[in-house]
Amino acid sequence: MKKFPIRFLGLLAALFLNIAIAGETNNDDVNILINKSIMAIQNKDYEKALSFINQAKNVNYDNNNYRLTNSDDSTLAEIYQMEGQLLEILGKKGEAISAWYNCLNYAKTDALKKEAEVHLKHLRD
Amino acid sequence: MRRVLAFIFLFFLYSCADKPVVKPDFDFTSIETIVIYPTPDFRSFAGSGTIINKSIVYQLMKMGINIVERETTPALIKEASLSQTGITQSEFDVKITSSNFVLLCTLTEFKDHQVIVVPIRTRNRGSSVTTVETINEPIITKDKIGNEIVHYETTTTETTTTQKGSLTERESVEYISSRVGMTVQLIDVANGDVLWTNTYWYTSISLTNAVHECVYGALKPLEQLLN
Repeated sequence: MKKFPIRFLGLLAALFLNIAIAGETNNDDVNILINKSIMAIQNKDYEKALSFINQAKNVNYDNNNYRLTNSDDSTLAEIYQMEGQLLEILGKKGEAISAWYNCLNYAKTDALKKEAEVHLKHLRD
Repeated sequence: MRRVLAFIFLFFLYSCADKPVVKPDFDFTSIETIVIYPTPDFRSFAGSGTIINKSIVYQLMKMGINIVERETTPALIKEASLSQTGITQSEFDVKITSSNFVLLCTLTEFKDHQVIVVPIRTRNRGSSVTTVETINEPIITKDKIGNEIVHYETTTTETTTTQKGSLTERESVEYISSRVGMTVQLIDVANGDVLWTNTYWYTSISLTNAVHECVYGALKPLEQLLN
């Protein structure tokens, strides 16, 4: 009976370690996808760049849109910033507004917040 | 409820945004022709002024305004082909001076996009501790009854800490968007009054798009006054 809490704690520790490793892997995946998107932008292949960004967004969420990892909000804000700019250049104004709104929600720096505000105002006018 | 909050947020956003400054009580609908003066290049970005000027001409013409471009038209007048239209240099000069309204633009920012490779070094500050314990010879003692008692004296002799830090290196690619900023002024040549002024900036993945959207955003409030 006394051994149960220790085993339970061990199980919890293993689970926590597993989540931590999984989170790191997910963050690496996000970085790779962002890099791929940037390369596609360099080649002016904006559709492809957007598909990588969408994949990067989905790395951190399960099918029920539940956030799986605690990847930092500033990375998410940058993902939405890129998505907003890509959607704008592809002429998808409505979706771009949604992306910039998300960017504003996750933005940590004043500069990014201001940029999101400028884009939102520009697109709504 | 969410819609109401979104509306309040957007209203707040709109009210906080920079707005153009307009000279009150001036009839902007009387403006028919605007002379566009050359825009100086932004720092060392050669040709940036010309790029902005062409975009301004495009936007104003879309608004239905008659445009005279101060930068290129005189050079065109000198071309022999234009003599066929019957316009002479002196007539052109009159045309420019008879237009009372001049649009001046100053570039505040003009940056093309950049891709930067940032090296990221992660240092793992791990360490291992080695403790060497020495067990002495057994000590045998006897109690009052005469039974032998064996006990060992344990002493810690040495503790060594070894740094096992490792350095992991990887690269991250960062994309810095194109950014264009400008200040525009509409001036009444007759008295030198600034009738309207606005400042605007915009970012985009492509410089062309940033220029187009920045000029559009800067001149859109003027369109509402002119029409």
